[in-house]
Amino acid sequence: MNLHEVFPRNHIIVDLDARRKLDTLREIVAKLAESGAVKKTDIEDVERAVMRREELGSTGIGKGVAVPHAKHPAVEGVVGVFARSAQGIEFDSLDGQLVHLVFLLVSSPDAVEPHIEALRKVTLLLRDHDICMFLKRASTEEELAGLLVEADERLAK
Amino acid sequence: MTVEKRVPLLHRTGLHLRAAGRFAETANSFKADVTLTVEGRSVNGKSVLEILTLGAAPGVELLIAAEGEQATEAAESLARLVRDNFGESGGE
Repeated sequence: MNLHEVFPRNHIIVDLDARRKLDTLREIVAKLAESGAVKKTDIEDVERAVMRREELGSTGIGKGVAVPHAKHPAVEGVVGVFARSAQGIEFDSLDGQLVHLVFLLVSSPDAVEPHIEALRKVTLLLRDHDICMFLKRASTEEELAGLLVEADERLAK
Repeated sequence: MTVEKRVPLLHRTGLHLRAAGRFAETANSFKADVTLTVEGRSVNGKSVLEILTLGAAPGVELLIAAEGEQATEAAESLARLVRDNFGESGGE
């Protein structure tokens, strides 16, 4: 299971319009409806699930990254949205830093292992300073999508 | 003196973000170095991010090793946490 499959090009937001946490969560979840990964009729419920999870504890894991997520039967397997914020968003992160990279993961309730695996790969990606730097500097969806392919190759080694 | 505990990970959502957070938080409350090993890979048990890199899914065995002043308390507390499914009823 690869990062570029969980976060394909049409699930990438180059620069978030949102400036605050809740608006950010709304904007990234809405992207799933845009791509058809989630039916429009299910989007509000998915959004609620993501918000509920965030209320339990911030998914800002530090180093400018957040991994909001939820389990929901509206999806099959694991779907994701990768979004960037140039300005940074206040996320109540573990290290108090603003968030610039957001990796949303929505998984079907039975996709326990794929979900953990996706989370594992995102975490490993964060340890690659080069990739993180390029992710923050890239300017198009295409570049970002390409970086995720490269990240997958590096992680496979 | 290193104290080791082997505990099966039965929590149905595996060692996901919140569980990893609770593990690290508990580990950090003790005067001991904590190492968590899963399927031969070892990480610092006090770091949420490192724990997440293990990708521990239900069914794997966790090896908790603690060394230092409060090694025994740390190992026992962490083993108990895992056995209690990190205080989560059915996972999130």
